[in-house]
Amino acid sequence: MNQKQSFSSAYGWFIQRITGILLAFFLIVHINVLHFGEKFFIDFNMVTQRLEGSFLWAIFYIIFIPVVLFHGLNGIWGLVEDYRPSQGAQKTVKVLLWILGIVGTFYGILAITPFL
Amino acid sequence: MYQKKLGIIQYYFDEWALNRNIGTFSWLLHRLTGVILTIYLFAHILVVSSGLWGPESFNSWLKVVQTPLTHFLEIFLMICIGFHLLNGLRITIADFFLATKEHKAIFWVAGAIFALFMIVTLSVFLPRVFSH
Amino acid sequence: MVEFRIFRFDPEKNKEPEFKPYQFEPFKGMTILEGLYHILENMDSSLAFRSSCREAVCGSCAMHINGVYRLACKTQIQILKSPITIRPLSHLPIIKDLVVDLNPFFDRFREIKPYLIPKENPPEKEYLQSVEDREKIDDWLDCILCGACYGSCPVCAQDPKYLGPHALLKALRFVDDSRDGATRERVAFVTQNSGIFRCHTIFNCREVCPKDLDPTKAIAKLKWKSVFKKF
Repeated sequence: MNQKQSFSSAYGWFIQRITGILLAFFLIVHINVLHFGEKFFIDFNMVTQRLEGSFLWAIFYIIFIPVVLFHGLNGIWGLVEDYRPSQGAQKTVKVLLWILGIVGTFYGILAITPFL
Repeated sequence: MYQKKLGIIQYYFDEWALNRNIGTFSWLLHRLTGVILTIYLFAHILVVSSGLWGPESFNSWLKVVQTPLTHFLEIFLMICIGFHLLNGLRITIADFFLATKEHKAIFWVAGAIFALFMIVTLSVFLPRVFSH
Repeated sequence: MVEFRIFRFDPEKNKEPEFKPYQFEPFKGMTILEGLYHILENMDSSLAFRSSCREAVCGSCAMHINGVYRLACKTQIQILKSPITIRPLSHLPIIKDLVVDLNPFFDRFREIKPYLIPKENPPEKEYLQSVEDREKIDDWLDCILCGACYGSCPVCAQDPKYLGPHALLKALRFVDDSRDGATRERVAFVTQNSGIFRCHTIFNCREVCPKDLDPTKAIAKLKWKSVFKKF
């Protein structure tokens, strides 16, 4: 019993479940407002009306975006790990996914700012 | 000795051919919908970020993504989200509460919720497809 | 009249496996294993398969019968629809016909050290265990190492180093055992790259287990222990 342990995958698994439960809440609110609540054609004014000056919606998306990106990219990581890539390939994919996640989070939050 | 070669995609079809049960079905669809949703997520962020270049840019992009065809594809998006969400909760319940014995019952309960969700979705989305 | 469609592969003759049909008249209550013996004795003496006890105790005759991994000795012909398709266990190299090389399966099993590791101060005579502590491991004891769960688990196909449902079930059996002294090391060992977190909760192992054990539950329990380090 001397194989390398990876408790990071333990936390990865646990956080994947927790973010999943959070996303169930976030997605139901997000989709309910955008696809079932409003008229079928969305434009700039409509989004601005909803988000402008709303502290609650800003907080909502600032939490939502990193959570959904983590859940998605961690899921992809699980899929990649199943194929047993070499150590080098694992490192490359891991770095790539972290960059995608961090850039995506900042860019995603930045994309909300014009409506606030 | 003989061992079948493992194709990257073929592998999933092989497993489905040998294990036709609820667990394998959910696992395959969970993977597929997860990958689709992650790709959609990035496309979604990119489209919304067009607002950074002013309202006109945002509106013109939203015109591109709001056609009868994309409204039709949104129904598939809802199928993906509905399935992934409900099956994810099913797996989480099994993992957290050790409810492995009840996994089939939970699957059918989730299936009923999914059916209800799809009825609502179709009643909202189908008129949109034909209202352009 | 029943038809068996049996997976045939002879490494000296074939390059690719093929399915051969065999038809015969079964008697009432005939099992798949008895059917295979009937074919071996009366129709085709080149057929190879493993079996021993004929009563679901030894775990030699697990195979893929009509879409499900089961023990040939425990399955009656009359409950299945003809033609009955019989394949060897998946995810293991095939030696001949229905005989697979079980070495990868048992290598994974040995890795988790499937024996009691004593605590620092072993008792002078025997280990004593209370009835309550014994009941804790009741659910994990009956494994006969037939390989049905290993064949049904899609993760085992992709990752030959994956410990597999059988080994992880046995790991939990020792983790839950009050007499075992290596609990911490065991949980740390299964928390490796090819360990418990490769399990995607597909439930195949618990569906096919001929002894009605629940490796999925065992793995879920190990996941909890691994995350919160509660032993």
